[in-house]
Amino acid sequence: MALVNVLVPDYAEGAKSIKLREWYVEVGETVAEGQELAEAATDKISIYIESPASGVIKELLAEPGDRVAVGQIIAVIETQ
Amino acid sequence: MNLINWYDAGFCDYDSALFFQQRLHAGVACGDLHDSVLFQENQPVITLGRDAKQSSLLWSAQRIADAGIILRQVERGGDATYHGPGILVISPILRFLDYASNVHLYLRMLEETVIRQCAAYGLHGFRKNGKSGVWLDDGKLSAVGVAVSRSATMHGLSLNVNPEWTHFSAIVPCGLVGEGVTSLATHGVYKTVKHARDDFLAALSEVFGAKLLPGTPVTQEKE
Repeated sequence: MALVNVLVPDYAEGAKSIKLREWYVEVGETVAEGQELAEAATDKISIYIESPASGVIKELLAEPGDRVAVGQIIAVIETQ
Repeated sequence: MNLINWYDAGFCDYDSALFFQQRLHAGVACGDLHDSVLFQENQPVITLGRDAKQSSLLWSAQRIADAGIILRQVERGGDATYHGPGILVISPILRFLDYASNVHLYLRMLEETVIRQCAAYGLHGFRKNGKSGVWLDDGKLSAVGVAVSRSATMHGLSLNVNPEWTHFSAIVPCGLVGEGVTSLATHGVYKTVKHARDDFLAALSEVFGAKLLPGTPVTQEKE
């Protein structure tokens, strides 16, 4: 087993403020690599954050409405 | 040089074009299709982005329906936007990291494309600090709002070519109180939507450094 961090993607850099809008998953849920886990948004851009690995959601580290930063860990996935 | 296929859904209802856009996005995101740009001119529709405020709708739902306008929630960022006859809607579906290092720069490149198109008409298009889109001296000419999923973009921008203004009074465009909207025709540039599309393509090729070719349902599969 290993732990994999879910980060706010680098390509969101340059945005003044990024807000986590919604989680599509919850702790304990099994997810597949590439699956959309959450939506974040700036003023004019919606960003759908994908799972970097297949596994089980161990932790969600930000709440909907929170301001988040590029590179910030917002979730942890436990892989098999 | 990247190849971008472009498609024109013509004058169509919003839902049909959105379905086509979603299919294109699925193909581009998984690498089965070349980067694409979808053009459309919609039957009257108000789209509400993920940040849309209730106060951005100035007409009641009934009045909007009576005017023949449909309302749609969409997954792009931004507030309320009206699309209808005389407005070119442009949806680049691109693996944007091939063109820009981040999505913010990508948005600026879309604006730059419209600014260059304006320059070709002898118009001074510009950005306003803190207000996305492209502006002329009397209002907003082009609204932008994008979504990124699986590193490929959706939605994009609209360009007011020669719209009917009545329907605009149903909303506060992009939620910007006290700001006007304008069009190419208002500035004496009389283009059909199709001509505006061709001029946009020329500017897009320049800004994105890409070769643009028409895509067809038969040839859209990547070779």
